[in-house]
Amino acid sequence: MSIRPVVLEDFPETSFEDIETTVSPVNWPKPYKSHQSSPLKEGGGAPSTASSESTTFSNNKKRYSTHTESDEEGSAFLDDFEEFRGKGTTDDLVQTHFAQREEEDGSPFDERLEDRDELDTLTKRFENKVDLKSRNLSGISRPKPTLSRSFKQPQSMLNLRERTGKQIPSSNRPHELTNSRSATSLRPGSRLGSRGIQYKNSMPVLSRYDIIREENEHENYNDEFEDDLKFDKGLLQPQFLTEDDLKSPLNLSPSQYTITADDSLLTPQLHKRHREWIKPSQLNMFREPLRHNKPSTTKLNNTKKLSVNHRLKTIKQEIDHNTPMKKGRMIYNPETLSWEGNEKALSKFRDVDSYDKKAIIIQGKPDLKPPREKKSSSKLGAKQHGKVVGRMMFDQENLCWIRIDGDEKDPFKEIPDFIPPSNVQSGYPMKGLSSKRSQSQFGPNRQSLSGRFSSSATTRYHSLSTGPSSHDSTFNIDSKTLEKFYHEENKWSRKVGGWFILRDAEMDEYDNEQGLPDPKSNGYMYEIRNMVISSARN
Amino acid sequence: MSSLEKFVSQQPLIVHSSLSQLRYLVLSEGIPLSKEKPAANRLRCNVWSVLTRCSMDGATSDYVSLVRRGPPPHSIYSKIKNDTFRTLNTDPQFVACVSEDAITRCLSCFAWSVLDDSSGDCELSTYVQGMNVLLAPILYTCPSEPMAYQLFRSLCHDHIKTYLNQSLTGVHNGAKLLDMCLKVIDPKLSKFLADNLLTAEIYGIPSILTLSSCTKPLDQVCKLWDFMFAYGFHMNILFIVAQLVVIRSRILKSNSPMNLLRVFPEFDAEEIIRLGVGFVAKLPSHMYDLLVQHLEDSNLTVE
Repeated sequence: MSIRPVVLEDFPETSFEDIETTVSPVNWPKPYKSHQSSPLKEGGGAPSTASSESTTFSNNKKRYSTHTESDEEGSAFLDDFEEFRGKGTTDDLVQTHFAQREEEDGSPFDERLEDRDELDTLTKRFENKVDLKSRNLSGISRPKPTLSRSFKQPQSMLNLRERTGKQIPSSNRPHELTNSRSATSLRPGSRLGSRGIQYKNSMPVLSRYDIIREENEHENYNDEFEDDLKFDKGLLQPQFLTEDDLKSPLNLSPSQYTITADDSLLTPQLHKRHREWIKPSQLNMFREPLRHNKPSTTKLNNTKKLSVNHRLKTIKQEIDHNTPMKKGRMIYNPETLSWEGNEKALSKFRDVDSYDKKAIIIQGKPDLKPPREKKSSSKLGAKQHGKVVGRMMFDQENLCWIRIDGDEKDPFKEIPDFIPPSNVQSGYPMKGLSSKRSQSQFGPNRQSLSGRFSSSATTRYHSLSTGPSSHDSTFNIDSKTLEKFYHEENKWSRKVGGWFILRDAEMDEYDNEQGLPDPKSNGYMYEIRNMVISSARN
Repeated sequence: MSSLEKFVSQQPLIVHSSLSQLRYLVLSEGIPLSKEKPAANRLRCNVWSVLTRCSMDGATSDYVSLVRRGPPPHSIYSKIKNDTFRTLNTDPQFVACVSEDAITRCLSCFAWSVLDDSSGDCELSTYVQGMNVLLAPILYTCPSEPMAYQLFRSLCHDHIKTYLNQSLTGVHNGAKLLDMCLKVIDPKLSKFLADNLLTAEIYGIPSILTLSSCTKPLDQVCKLWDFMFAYGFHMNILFIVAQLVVIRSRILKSNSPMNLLRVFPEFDAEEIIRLGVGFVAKLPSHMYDLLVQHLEDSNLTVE
């Protein structure tokens, strides 16, 4: 894969050693000498060595030094590193670092010469940006990306250092040229000094090593990415930065961000790769403004992302509940924990709920205080409080719909309604009864001959409160009791229902023809007499 | 599970034959009195309904529709309410089981049903005193009001309809028959009561009209009713005679026998049934016919 090596080279800052040596005020000139005379140069960086070095470097100074025993420059570098750590203020370091770089102008590296012009312009641009931010932290924070890169190619920590001094073998040069170009370009921009070129040399060198490339080829891209992240936060920062720096909101290198944002500085590969590196910091950056109800900012940031990155970031966003999300026209506001963007649609529902407006839909809120004075026939009272649909209004007391205007006509008025005429006269109409319960599923029909337990029409009358005398609790049967009634009836049906066969005229006729006794005749009343007499005779 | 219960639970092959077997089981084994009221009563209710050919099919819906109509007209309802509260109110077991409201509802429903049938040839009264006591064993036995109402209605319409007509002709005929039967069965006691001007019309009407349910205890009444549901309520006359015979020595010795006859003493159903069945053999057939007919024929005149 051509991408892999390129990716590695995309991070010229990986030359952690470069920074250190550069930063160290005492030894900075040394590296150059050492670079040239580095014995490792010939070694070509055995993979095993490289890996061991990287670990020692990050975690154990002593081991690191032992490794560099054979290498004077290495020990010098270490010293530099220690000094750097000893330094209290970062500003000093940065200043010295830059000052030294200035002195380095006459860099012996030929390959940098062709980029000189471009680098100068980039450096200026970068300096301007730093000035704007009134921060000198850029120099300090630089190790960070370097570190992350060094992690990525941890093996090369020492090798790198040596290689930078090596002057980069010509055998690798063609390769370096193609891939490292971007790295060299990056360098000057990020380092704020043209001198940085010299250190950049080490970066392309890195990519030249097949070892590294091979190793990376076997790695999963995602794994790499995750590992890098771990390194950034945990292991490396404390070694080079004070706690204050770590706490600083800008502990992420501004240069890092600047580079990323400035696509013109980067080759397409670098651009892509770099984005991924910076991803966590970028997320943080746009997370802040979004918290203050600026979803539009998200948009802007998001639109910048390219397809692959964008997909990755979308996943991230969904994982993080603090991150605003956008789906279609809806935007998730983490502060209110709600989705925004459909206020218009919601307002329609609010209108429906609002009491004054006559909703097309029956409002869901029940009338908790139905007016007591309202009677079934009083339309005015009902008008004020009932639900109105068209010309009909719901009478909450009688639970029925009545007309707002005009006379109320009871369509069932003339239907006798189960009470025979004689009873209707007795003054107990069934009007106004509320049907508490429909029991049509119960109640077998006694009138129907089709089946013994089929439901009948009469079972539809099953509200048990009475109209005029509803105040008399005697005739109010609660649903529980009613249930018991049906339950018992069903039990009876199961137990002795078999004793009762629905009979029709034909069956009666048949029984008569057969001379069978009528079960309801008084014949049974003589049974006991017959028994007594027969027993007396015997 | 008793054999009676098993038998009732089985669907009969031939109904009228199975009914005879059921009657015999009731006579020979009786319906067990369980201390757990609902269980025993459910069986009794089932047996009663089977014996009277009273189907509970649709009982609840019918009953509920009648209850919905509320109380019957005031003239009827006031009579009902005048009696319901004192229905077996001295029987704590009954009071615990049956509420006054239930009695009121059932009687009101019966009144409504009579009113509904008034267009027909129904001669029943909407309500007469004693109906409440007549209803008491049924409500006590049946697991639900609708079934009790149905059974009560069946009893009134199909079995003792002459007792409940406007002039209670069946009851008065029953009283005459009681005197006649007593004269046949226990001439000495009959003569004693006659000498004291105590006719059945004076002391026997409550027991006749209520089918002896006015006598304590109610559980024994139920047993008595088991038999009467099986072999006919005309036997009630003979059972009253049996109750008299049981206390005959006390009556004969009493200076004021009416005090003994006003409220019959508690009785043992099995003893009364045994005596009553035994009296059947002593009765001439025409008198037994009168016993049967007095329940069915309201135009019957007993001399």
